[in-house]
Amino acid sequence: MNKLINTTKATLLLLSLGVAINVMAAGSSETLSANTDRKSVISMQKGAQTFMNYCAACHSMQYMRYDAMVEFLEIPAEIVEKNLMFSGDQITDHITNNVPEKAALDWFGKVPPDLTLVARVRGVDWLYTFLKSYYTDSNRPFGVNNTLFTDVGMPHVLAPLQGTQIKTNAAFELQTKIEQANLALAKAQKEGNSSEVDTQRAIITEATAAISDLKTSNTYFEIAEAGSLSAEEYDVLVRDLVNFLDFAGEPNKLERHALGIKVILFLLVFFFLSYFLKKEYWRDVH
Amino acid sequence: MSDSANNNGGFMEWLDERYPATKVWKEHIAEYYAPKNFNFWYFFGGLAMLVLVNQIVTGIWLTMSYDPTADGAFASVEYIMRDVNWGWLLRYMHSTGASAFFVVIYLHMFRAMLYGSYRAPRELLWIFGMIIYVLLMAEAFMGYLLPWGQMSYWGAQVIINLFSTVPFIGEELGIWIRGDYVVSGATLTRFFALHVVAVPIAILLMVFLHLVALHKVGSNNPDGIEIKANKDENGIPKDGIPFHPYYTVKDIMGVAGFLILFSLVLFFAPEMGGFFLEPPNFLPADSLTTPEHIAPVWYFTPYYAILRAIPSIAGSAFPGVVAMFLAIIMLFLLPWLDKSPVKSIRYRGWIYKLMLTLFVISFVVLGYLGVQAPTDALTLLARVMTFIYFLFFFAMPWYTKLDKTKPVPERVTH
Repeated sequence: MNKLINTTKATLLLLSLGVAINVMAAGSSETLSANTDRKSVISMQKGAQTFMNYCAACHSMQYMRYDAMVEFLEIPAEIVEKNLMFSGDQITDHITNNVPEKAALDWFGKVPPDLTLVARVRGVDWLYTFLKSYYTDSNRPFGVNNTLFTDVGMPHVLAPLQGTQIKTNAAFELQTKIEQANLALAKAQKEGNSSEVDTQRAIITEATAAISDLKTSNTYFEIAEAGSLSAEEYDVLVRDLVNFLDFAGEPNKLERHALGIKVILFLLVFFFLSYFLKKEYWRDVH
Repeated sequence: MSDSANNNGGFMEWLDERYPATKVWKEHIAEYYAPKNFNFWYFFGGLAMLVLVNQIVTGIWLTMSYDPTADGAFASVEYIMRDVNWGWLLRYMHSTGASAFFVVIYLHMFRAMLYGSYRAPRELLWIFGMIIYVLLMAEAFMGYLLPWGQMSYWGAQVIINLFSTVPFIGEELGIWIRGDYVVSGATLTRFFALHVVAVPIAILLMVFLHLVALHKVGSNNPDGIEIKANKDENGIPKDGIPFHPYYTVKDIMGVAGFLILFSLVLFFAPEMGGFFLEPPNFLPADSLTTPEHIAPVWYFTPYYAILRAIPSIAGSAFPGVVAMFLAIIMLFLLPWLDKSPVKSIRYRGWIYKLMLTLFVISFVVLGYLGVQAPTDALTLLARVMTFIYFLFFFAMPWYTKLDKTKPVPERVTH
C-alpha cells in the first residue's frame, strides 16, 4: 500500500511538472491562429507556388532541396522544374537564390533571412499574423509598417493580392486613448494622486484588452485599396504559404507522428507483458 | 574452483580459466543481493544507464554526418534532419535523450536525499555520482554548442564569460577555454573533441567506479537500514533478493514505462515547447546579433537563477559565479552535513520533511526563474529561493540533529 502511495505521489509530481511546463510555454495572445493543416498536401502545394513566385526572389531556403517537394508534396518533377525553379538549378540542388548580399543591403538595409526554418523559429501563428499585419505608414521607406514586427525591412510583397491596409477608426481611437491615459498617468504619478493613477491604469488595461480583441476578431485593420483577392481568399493564401513554411521547417514531421504512434502502441503492449512477467517472478517475494 | 566444477569441459570452463566471466556474473548480477523493498524511486539509476547508452549510440551515428566547423555545423545538422536516412530520429533521440538524462539523474539524486543513500558507508558512492553529474553538465553544455545555432552560440558566450569574472586570471582563463577572444570555430572544434571523446570516456570510467562502489557497500533501501546486518545461515541477507532475475525483470518494466514517456516527447514534442530545443536555435549562430533573451537549457536554469540573484560587487558578477558553484559543491558535502541518527525520510521528523520540501520548491522555482527575463519582483523571489536553497545545506547539521526521529525497524518493510 505504501508503495502504491509512493508511486502515485511520484507520478503526480511528474505530471504537475509537465503541466507547469505547458503553462510556461503558452504563447502570447497577440497572434491570430493560423489553423494550418499539414495533412493537406494541396494546401502545401499552393503554398509552394506562392513561395516560389513571391518570396524566393529574395529569400533562400538553403537547407531544403527542390526535390523535397517531389518527395513529400506529390508535385511531379517536371512541374517543379518548369514552374517552381527559376534559377537554372538542378532539382537535387538546395533552394538558394541569386540576390547579391551588397545589393540586398542597399535595398532593404539587411540581407533577407533564409526561410527554411523560419516556422520553427517564429511558429506558424506568428507568420500568419505577420503577413496579415502590414499597414500603410508614410514614414517608412516602402510606405508600409507592420504591427507585429515594428519597422520591418521587408516591403509588403503580397500587397497586389491583399491590397493596402490601414488601421480602423476604432483602432485609432483606442490607441489615442492609451496615449492620453499614459500622459495623464505620468502626471498623476508626479502629483502623487493615487486614485487617479488607478483610474488611468484601468483605462490603459481596458483599452489594451480592447485592441487585442480587435486584432483577434480581424477588425483592427480595414482595406483602403482593394487587391486582386478578397479578404477570405487572402487568408487562405497566407495560410497555405505558412503551411508550406511549416513543411520546409520539418518535411518529415508527419512521418515522425506516424512512427511515434506505432512505437508507442508496441511499447504499451510490451509494458503490460513486462508487468505480468515481473508479477510472475515476484510472486515468491514477501 | 567451485565455479567451474559444474562445467564439464565446456566453453564456459575454458573461458573461466582465462577470464572471471562466471565469477563476475554471479557476484554482480545473479548473486548480487539487493533489498527486496525497492520502490518507484529505484528505477532511475538503471534508466540513467539506458539513456547513457542511447546518447553514446546515437552520438556515434550523428558524428558520422556532423561537420564540426563554424561554416558547416548548422547546415550539417539540417542535412542529418533531412537527407540522412533516419537522421531525424537519431538527432531527436540524442536531443531528447540529453534532457531525459537530466530528468532521470535529478530524480535519482532526489531518491538519495529521500532515503539518505549518501550516508555512511556510501559517501564515496555519492561523491562518484556527483562527479558524474558535474561531468554530465560539462558534456551537455559542450554538446549544446555543436548545432551552432543562436542559443548554442550565445549560451556558450554567457557561460564562458562567467569564467572571465574570476579575479586576476579571468581574462586569460576565458581565452584559454574558447581558444579565441570570442566563441568561434576554434571553440567549436575543441568542444566537439571534448564532447565526443574526452568527457564520454570520463563519464564511462566514473559510472564504472560508481557501480564498483555500489556493489562493495550494497544498495540502500527506502527504510535506510543495512540488509547485510541480518544474514541467514548461508550468509545471504534475509531481506535481499538476487538482482537477477528479480530486478532485471522489474527494470525491464521500468524501461518500458520510461520509453513510453520518452517516445511521447521524442515523436510528438521534440522541442518540448521550447524547453528541450529552443526556437532561436533554429537560427544559425551570428556573432553580430544577440538574441533578445538568452536562457540556458532548462537543466541549468536553477543555477543560472542563483547566479543572477546574487548582486554584483564593484560591477563584477564574480560573487554570483561563486554562489553558483557553491550551490553544486554543497551537494558534494551532503554525507557530512547530515547528522541525523536515521537515514530514511520514513523515520525522520517534521523538520527534515519540511526542509526537503522547501528545498525542492526552491530548486523548481529557481529553475522557472532561470528562463524568465529578470524583473525586480522576480529577482527578489530568486533571492528568497536562493536563501532557502543554501539554508537547506548550511543549517542541515543542526536541524538534522534537532529533528525528532522515529524508531527504525530491524527488517525492511514493504
